[in-house]
Amino acid sequence: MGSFGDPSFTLQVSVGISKAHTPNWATASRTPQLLHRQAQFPPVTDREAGGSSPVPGLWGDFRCRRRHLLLQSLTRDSVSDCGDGSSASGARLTGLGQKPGGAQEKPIELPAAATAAAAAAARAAAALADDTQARGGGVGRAWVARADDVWRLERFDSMASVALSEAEKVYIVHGVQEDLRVDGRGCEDYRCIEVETDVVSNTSGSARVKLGHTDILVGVKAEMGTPKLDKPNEGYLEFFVDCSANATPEFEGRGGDDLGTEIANTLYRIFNNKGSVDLKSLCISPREHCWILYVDVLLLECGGNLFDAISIAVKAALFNTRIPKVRVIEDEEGTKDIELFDDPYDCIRLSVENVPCIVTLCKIGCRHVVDATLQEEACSLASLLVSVTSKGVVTCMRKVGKGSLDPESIFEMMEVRL
Amino acid sequence: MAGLELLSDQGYRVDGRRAGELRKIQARMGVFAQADGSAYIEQGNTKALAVVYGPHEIRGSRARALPDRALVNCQYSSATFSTGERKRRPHGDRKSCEMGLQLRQTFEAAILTQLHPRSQIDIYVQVLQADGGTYAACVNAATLAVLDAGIPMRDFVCACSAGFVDSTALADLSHVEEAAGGPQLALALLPASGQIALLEMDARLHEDHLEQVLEAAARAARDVHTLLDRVVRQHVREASILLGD
Repeated sequence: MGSFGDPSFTLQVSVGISKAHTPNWATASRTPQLLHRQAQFPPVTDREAGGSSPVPGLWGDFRCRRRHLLLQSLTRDSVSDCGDGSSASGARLTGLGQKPGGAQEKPIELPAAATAAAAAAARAAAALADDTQARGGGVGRAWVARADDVWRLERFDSMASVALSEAEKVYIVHGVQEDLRVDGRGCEDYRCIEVETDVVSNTSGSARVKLGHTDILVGVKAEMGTPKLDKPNEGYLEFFVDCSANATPEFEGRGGDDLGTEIANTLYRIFNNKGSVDLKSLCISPREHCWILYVDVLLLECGGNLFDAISIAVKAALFNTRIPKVRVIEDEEGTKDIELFDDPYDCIRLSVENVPCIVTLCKIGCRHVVDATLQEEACSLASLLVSVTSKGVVTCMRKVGKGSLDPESIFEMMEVRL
Repeated sequence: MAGLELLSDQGYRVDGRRAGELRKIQARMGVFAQADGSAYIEQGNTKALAVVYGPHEIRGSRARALPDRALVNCQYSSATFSTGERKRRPHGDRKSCEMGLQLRQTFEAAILTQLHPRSQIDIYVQVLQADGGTYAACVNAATLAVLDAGIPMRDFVCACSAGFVDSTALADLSHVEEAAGGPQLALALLPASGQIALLEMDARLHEDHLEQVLEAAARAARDVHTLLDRVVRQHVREASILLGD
């Protein structure tokens, strides 16, 4: 079966690298986006590479270090092993899926591990060479055949995403299988979440959430309006998601509209139940006046796991929301007047106890991770989005992404959430 | 003027400032890791964010590429919750388009575009909270972001607004002063040479007063320059400490 969740995928590699060719990421021409990403990482010196503990929050550094080491070992090994030993036709390796990542196991011991597991290194070098060849048009030839796993370099249709090379993907997937991700987290660890409320003063409530490199600003504005016909004694929430060009240039103009609508629809869905917010408290006078809460989400930076970060930000902003208290006064002729209370601090606060948060589980290889970074999202074909309240009630569930999921793996993933 | 006195007899404005006084400016560079350059600025209650990508290859149609210089692409958007009344669209309306165009003109005058032929520089500004002087805040934030991206410029671009009330020129108008409907002038200055990158004035003003208002705006822009320069130096100092130099 060709499911991507199958652990025993095979990767057949045949290498034919001439002596003259050394795969080198620095010189190979890469897509501007990748180049751009590389340029941001500070240069790694050998002194730095010797350091050990990963610094949480500085995943960029850590990742860079790992990649740098991989690079070092690969260039060295590919010259010594592939270059010398297999210049004619190269090594043929099969079934590497079962023997995941000798080279990728521990970032710090990488050079040693790579020299020992020369085969693994050669395989990765081949993939790397393939990548370099494809982009840079070098001297040698390399060919990577994929048996039953789809490892195409594709982008989500409307998601902000990064382009990853074959080798990078293999590296990430093997890391996930070993429960060690590129930034040193385990499969079920979140990045550090920073929440800040009351950040924009001309809103009723606002919050900013930073989750790794994902940065979300949410503003809630309460405006008076008429209740919906089918719910005459309830107020309602309106969601709007603005994918600003700040996050990625792809969102310029109308580029972010699709993603924005998708996220807004998801938010409507997770709030589409009686328990989430007490909408009756938003009613001022039935059929005539109610509060409409405009929840505006602004994407400032995308670093993966947008849905979770947005749901946390929305919850924090609703918690921060203060709606002014009003009373309806009716005079003799029956005309109604709305009067604002004198004390500006006398206001309604919403109970957010039952507001759900989204947990996105990304299927990568045969495992699933929470809080995936952009790079990890690029490796995953499908993910499961579960919105759950603090009491464990599921309010919405969605599968996102272009791949397919096993019914069994859905239940497996659901367990993680609980 | 009905109701509100914009300038008291003692020479104080509504928020307690003197005529030529700026609001408090706080700025930070390098707020985002993924962009090439970014900056955040607060001028009183106006808060703006600027992000710069580039110089990179031309995105979209290649026909837009300029053979002798870089294309400066600007987008202005203002968060739906930034204004007192909720906005329906963050960008794409007439005001945003005009603002984007003005920013583009301003930065084409300042960036040494001829150093990057056939490439593109994206400047995206986002107003998070609007309380008057959004154009000025955007230009100042964008300057810091361009500097953060390391794109060569002739000079800082410092912008400030100015108004005219009771035969006195007021610098750095707040929302209340803007809404009162007097003449408004927006000025973007290259402070070292004293050149004007953008000048725009709306409403009616007698020619004799123009020089006075212009002078007030230019002085305020120079003050802004002093502050921005301090921010940049501070940022470079911190960055060099982090790099261990």
